[in-house]
Parts: sequence; structure tokens; C-alpha cells
Amino acid sequence: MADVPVLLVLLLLIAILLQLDFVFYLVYLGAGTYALARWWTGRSLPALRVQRRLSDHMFLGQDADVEIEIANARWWPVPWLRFDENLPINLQMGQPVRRVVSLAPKERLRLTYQVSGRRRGYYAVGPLQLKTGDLFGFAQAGGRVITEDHITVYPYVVPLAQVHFQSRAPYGTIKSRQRIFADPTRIAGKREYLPGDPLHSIDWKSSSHSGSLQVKKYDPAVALASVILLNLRPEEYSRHLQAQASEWGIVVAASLASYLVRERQPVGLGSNGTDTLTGAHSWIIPPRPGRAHLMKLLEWLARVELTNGLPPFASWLPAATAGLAWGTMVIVVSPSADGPDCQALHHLVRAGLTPVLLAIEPHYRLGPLQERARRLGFTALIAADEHDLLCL
Amino acid sequence: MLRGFLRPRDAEAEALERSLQHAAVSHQDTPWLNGIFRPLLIALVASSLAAGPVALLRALSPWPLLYVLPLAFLLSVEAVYATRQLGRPSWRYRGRLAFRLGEVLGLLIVIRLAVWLFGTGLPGPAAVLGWLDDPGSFFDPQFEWTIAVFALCWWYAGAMTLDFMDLAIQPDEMLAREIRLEFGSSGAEHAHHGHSRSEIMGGFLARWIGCAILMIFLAAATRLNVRTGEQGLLRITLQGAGLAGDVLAGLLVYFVAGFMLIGESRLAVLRGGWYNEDLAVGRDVIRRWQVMVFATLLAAGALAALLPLGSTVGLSYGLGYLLALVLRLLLFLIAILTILVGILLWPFHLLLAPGGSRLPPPETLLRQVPDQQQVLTSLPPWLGGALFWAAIIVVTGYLLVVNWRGRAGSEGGLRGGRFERLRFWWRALWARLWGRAQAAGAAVRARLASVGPPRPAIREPRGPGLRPGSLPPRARVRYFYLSTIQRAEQRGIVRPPQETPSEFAGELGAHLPDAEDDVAALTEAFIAARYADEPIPTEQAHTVQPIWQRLIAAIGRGGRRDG
Repeated sequence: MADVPVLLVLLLLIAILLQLDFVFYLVYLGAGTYALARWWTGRSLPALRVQRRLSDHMFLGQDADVEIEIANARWWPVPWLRFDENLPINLQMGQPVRRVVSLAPKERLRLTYQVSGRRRGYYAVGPLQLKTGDLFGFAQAGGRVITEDHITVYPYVVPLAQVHFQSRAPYGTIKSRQRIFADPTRIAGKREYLPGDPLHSIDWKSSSHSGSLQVKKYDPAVALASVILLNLRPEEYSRHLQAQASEWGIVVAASLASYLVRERQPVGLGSNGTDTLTGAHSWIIPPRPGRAHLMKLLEWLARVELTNGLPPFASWLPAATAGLAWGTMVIVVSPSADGPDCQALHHLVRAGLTPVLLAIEPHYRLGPLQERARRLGFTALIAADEHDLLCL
Repeated sequence: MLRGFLRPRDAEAEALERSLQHAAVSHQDTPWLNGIFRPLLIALVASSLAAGPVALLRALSPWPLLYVLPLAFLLSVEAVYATRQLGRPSWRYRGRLAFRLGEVLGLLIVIRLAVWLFGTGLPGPAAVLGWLDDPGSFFDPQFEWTIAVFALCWWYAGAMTLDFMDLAIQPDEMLAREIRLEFGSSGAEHAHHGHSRSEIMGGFLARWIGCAILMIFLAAATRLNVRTGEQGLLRITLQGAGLAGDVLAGLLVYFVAGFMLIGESRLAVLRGGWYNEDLAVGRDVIRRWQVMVFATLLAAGALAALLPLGSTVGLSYGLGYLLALVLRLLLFLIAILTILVGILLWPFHLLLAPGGSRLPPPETLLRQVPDQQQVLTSLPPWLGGALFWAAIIVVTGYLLVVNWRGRAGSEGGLRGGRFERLRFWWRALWARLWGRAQAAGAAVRARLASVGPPRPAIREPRGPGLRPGSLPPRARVRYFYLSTIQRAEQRGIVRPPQETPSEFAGELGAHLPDAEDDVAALTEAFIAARYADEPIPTEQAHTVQPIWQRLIAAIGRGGRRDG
């Protein structure tokens, strides 16, 4: 394209030498076209207003729409605009999002494409690269990058109907078989007064009706404030099951958290894995109730990854549970438990916590492990697959 | 290609070649290659190239040249479509050289006719006879110059068409894309890189610029007045009031249409890249492209019209004088250098000059035989020219036929589309008319046959142009028998299809008792000619002919007696 200025200069010389007015006009025509094309290209991209709209979270297996709106704010058209959207492979549906469009003056273009949450994680959508150019090839096409947004794909949550965990904390919302904890807010009926019944349990209204003393009967209940600790140290997983079992562990943690929140229990979360967003590893989130807190836990579970080079899980456990209240249930989700792990769990028992070990890898020596756990004062259960989890 | 390897062509090779051609045809960038907008632009640019030479010719000669630009446009259109046709897959293995030569000769004929009609006038009988004596007189200066101008336009149109055909998406790129989509590989990994569209566009642009400069120079040269001054120095001054209207129009069309073609080539480069990268391209991009190119040119042209021209700005005069001074200095330097080089080379001239002793000339031998000139002077002077023109006519006719057949027989040529329908319509009409004529003739003959004596002689049922005497003996005997059968059918003696000739001979003999022997003889001769392997001698055919004639007469008499 450097030939065009040479042509124009030559024509100008001829026009000046020979005083040909028409050649002057042709020079102006050529120079005007050349200048217009270069000027046009340089001002097209900055005048574009680009916006990406998407939901920043989705569940596994769900499809979501991402909308890109490109508006041309100028009074001249954009002859061609190429945009390339970078998408992680785990979100792509079909062909990559790349297209060439044309924008009329003041035209607003909306393009929608779908993403699919095929794997949990924290994904960057974008950046969106824009390129344009002129009609004649006189000007180089400019480029502009629209920054990326993020989508969190939550892990799979197994809907649990009931989980039989025992708690030593009195009063709560979960019905317990242990009658030692009678919850005065849960009235189950009335009976005749027996010597030894506390006076505050006498129901005076029904006693006056019946003519004899009646006492209220209470349902026993326990509080299941829990912290789920997820072991993501790769060395403690079987090599051939590492990826699969660690993902399953995250599913177990998410399912338990969802169940406990549904049961209006405060639940916390901790892991020795690495959060891909903040870079934090070996973190813990204190127990809180509520759905908003659950979404926060699911976000952390979506982002957490296996981390190499960590200290053993047993050595991290005491520090992770140091600030927990007495009676808190500590649900350890780990591939298995060896001697140090069991000792660490025993220490938790002695500290007044209620540890429960959930082995998430198939364990051919579950019986001895469970017996050992019973002796050390904690419960060991197997949750190697969805069936085991549903049977908890 | 297959033809060169298979002798003779078998069904399998033909099927393979048809499938290859079908694959090539199905993988064609039809939206790009078809259409009339781009060919029109190319023809406009190529034909407007003639504006420069026309301006110069007008300044140097009194020839009427108004017809040149319109004819150049038509020739450019022809060049575009001929080049497109040659680029079709079905033309891959055909004789392109013969086609092109036929095309060139056809164009020369058209140019010659145009020069006669609009320029020099039609040649008289004396001029025609003069071509026999001197074939070179067929070419006059105006014809030669217009050939040069039209050749330039024709070449330019063909070259631009080839460029745009190369800028289209090629069949191998389409196949590569199909493979990518089928096997799921990414487009960028398998993008087709063997066809640099940017280079093609660069070549197109360079050619356009070069021809633009040439055209401007030629047009501008008409303003120069070159003469020798008093001291023998060359004086170059400006003259004339400007350029003619058609030249101005040609210049404007060249640049405007040229810029539009640059826009089209840019679109082709982008389009090819997008295709190879499997990008989805919105329809608006292509649809708006030409409109935006034209709008840009319009805006630039409107803006240019407001700017000062050379004659309205004094600065341009000053710059003009300055440039003229620079050029004169350059010319002076060149003259000085030329003189110096001449002085340096002068001594060599002395060495190479003729002089000194020379070898004696060889003795001329006495010739006893007449020389070529003596021989030639004994022949008619027009003979050489006549032979020459005869050869030219034969070769031209052959090449024109090749060219015409090529256009008529290829896809997209005269065999396709509307021309195909027109051809079929004409054939159907002709078949209907011929059928009605035949039916009318048969009805007339039947009517005449039903009328009583005297009966006009019925002509022998012969095919068009069929003469028994021209047939070989075997065919002649068969003709005699079959024409007898046909005549008998006309008289109501119909031969059932399941009957053999021998069986029908008895039936025919029963109807013609006087000619029973002739019936048997003719039947026997027919059986020998039809079924026997031995050759039939000519004498036997001669023997059968009078038998046949007697039978025909007997059938005719039998018909009159029956009627």
C-alpha cells in the first residue's frame, strides 16, 4: 500500500508541470480517499462501547447466556469488526465465539452465546479482542481488548435427605435420639406429673382443666454447628484416584454444607488446598448459618484445587480447629486416615469437639479403621460414592 | 489427464473424471465468481485505459476515434467472460491455446470491421484486389494503432479477471475446511497458506498504478509542444486548452472504478482469511461493503471539488516553473554526458570504420537456371496473396469454430442457463413444426392414394439423401427388401412382426401371384444379406435390383386393382 502515496506524488508533479486541472482533482480524490481511510480506522475502535453481560455463577451442568453488546457511538459506519472471545474449554459449547460484523452509524449490536458449566471452577470469560480496518487496506487494522469477566461454576451437590451425625451440643434444630438434651422450645405433648419433675415444666393451664398436675414433654434436640475440613493434599490420595477422589471430596463437602444449611445449622469450611482466586492455601471459614453463607462456601469449593508440597493433613488439623467452639462437629473429608490422622482426631475429641471422619476413597480396611476410631472416640464413615453418601 | 493414460477411454475412467469434475464444480466460490458488478467494474477500468492513447492519437492524427472507448468496453467485457470461462474446472483439460487464438482472431475481425465502419470507410473492390497482391495492405495505420489500444485493454481486463479469480476461495481451501469441521481440528492450525491473497492484491495494485501513470502521461503528453529552437536546442512548451471530454471521463472512470476494485480486492483478502480461520461473517459485511466504498469515494470526491485546482492557485505556477527548471537542468546534464560518452567512444569508431585493403569480391557464377524472381514473374501476381488469404481463412475459421464450440459447450457458457432453455425451446418448436409438416404430407399422400386412377406415381420411400446406388451391396439388398415391405404395407399387406421373411414371402406371393417367383428371389437374397457371413458381391446386388423394380410395380398394380 506504500505505492499509493508514490502514485499521488507522481500525479501531483505531472499536474503541476503540465497544469492539468483534472489531474489535480484526481490527486485530491486519491489523497482524500487515502487520508479518509486512515483517519476512519484510527477513530472507529475507540468510539465503540462494548459491554459483556453474564451471570457470574452457575451450577454444574447448567447452561447460561452471555450477552455482548457493541454500540457504535459515531456517525460513520464501521465496515468490518472482528471480535474473538476467549473462553475456557470447560465452558465452551460448540465452536469458539469468533465473528465478523459490520456496524452502521449509531447501530447497537447484541450477540448472545451460551456457556456450559461442565466442570466446577472459577473461569475467566474473555478477554474480548476487537479488530477493524478500512475498506482499501491503506491502514493497518487496530486492536482493542475488552477485559475479562469471571464465572464460578459451583460443584455438584448431592441432595441429602438425612445425615445421622451425633452432636454433643445441647439445643439445636435437629432432632436427636439422645434424650439427655431436651429442647424447651420443642413441646411434644403433656403427661401426668411425677415426683422429681422440674416445676417450670408444669403446664398450669392444662393442669387447671384436668384437675391434676400436667407437665410438658419436650423433644430432644441437638445443635450441629459444623466445620467441614477438606483434605486436598495430593500425597494422601491414591495416585490413580487422585483427580477423581479429590473432586468427589469437594462434592461431598458441598453436599454436606448444603444439607446442614438447609437444616438451619451453622456450617464452616476449611481446606489445605489452594484458592485459585486469592492464592490462599490452608484456609478456614468460620461457621455461619444461612443461604448466603452457603453460596460463599460453594464459591470457595468451586475454586479450591489440589496443592503439592503441603504439610501432612494431621499437622494442619490442630491449627485449623483451634478457634472452634466446644461441641462443634468437625467433619473431616479425607481419602483415608492413618495413625497420625487418627491421633489428631483423637486430640479433637479431647478438646471437646466432635470429629467425624468421612473416607472418600474405597477403603478395603474400613472395619479396623472404624474400630480404631471408636476406641479413640470419633466416628469413621465411608463415603466413596454417591450411594455411600446417601446412606450416611 | 486421464485421457493421456487410458487407451481407449473406458467407462470407469470416464466416471472418475466426471466425479473429479463434479467435486471441482461443487467446490466453487460461486457467490464471488458469479455476478455482474465486478466484471462490469473490470471492463470499465480496462476500457478507460484507452483514454490515454486515444487522447494522444487525436493529437497526432485526424482519425475519428469516438468509437474506440465504447468498443474497448465491449472487448473488455468479452475478455472478462472468456477468462472466467477458461478458469472453470471443466476447462482444465481443454485446449486453451486454440480457444484463445480463436478469440483473438475473432476480435481482430471485429476491430477491422469497426475501423472500416467508423474510421476509414468500407474498402472498395480495388482495395480488396490489392489485398491479394499485397496482403500487408490489409493493415492500415489506424487499424494497427487501434489493435494496440484494444490489445492493451483486452490484456488488462484478462489480467484483472485472473487476479479476482485467484482472490476467490479456492476448491482446496473449501476441502480443507470440510476436513477441519469434520475432524474437529482448530481452523488456525490448518489454515491454507499456499495462496497469498495479499501478494495478488499487491500485484493488482502495482499494475493499476503503472497503467494509471501511463495513461496520465499519454493524456498529458497531448499538451506538450516539442520543437527545435533557433540554436538547435529542444524546446518543450505547453499547448492546448485541456483534455477532451471523453478522455476526462475515461480518466475519472479509471480512478473511481479502480478504487472500487481495490476495495473489492481488500474484501477478498479479508474474506479469504476469515474463511480459512472458520470465522462466521455477518451478511451485512459483504452487503454494505460496496456501498461504503462508493460512499467513501463520493465523500472524497465532494471534498476534492472544493479544493483549489492548478489554474486557480498561483503557487502551482511557481512550482511548475521550478519543476520545469529542474527538468531542463536534468536534460542538459544528460546531453553533456551523452557528448562525453561519444567523445570517449569515438576512437573505437575509427577502428571499426571501413577502409584499407579489402578482399576481392567472389566471382559470380554463371547461372543456367532461372532465378526465383523469374519464376515468380511467370505466375499471376494475386496467387501468393490468394493462397495466403485462403490459409488465413481456413485457420481463422477453424479457430473460431473451436472458440464457439467452447463457449457453447461449457458450464456457464452457452449451454447453461437461459441459453440452454432457449436452445431447448427452439428444438422443441422445430420438432413440432417438422412433425406437423410430415403429418400433413402423409395425409396428402393418403388422400391421393385413396383417389381412383390415374394415380400419381408414389416415390420410393427413401430417407433424406439416401440413394440405393451409393449403398454397399449388402445394404442395397436389404434396402430393396425393406422398401418392398414398406410399399406392401402401404397397400394393406402388413407383415406381422412375429413372421419370418420366408413365412411372409408366402403371404405376399399369395397377394401377388404374378410375381411369386420375384418375391421368393428377393426374400432369398435378403436372407443371405441379412444373416449370412459371406460377402455379397456387387453383381448380386445388380441382379436383385430389377427383381425389386418388378415387385414394386406389381404391388402398385395390385393396389390399383384392389382399389
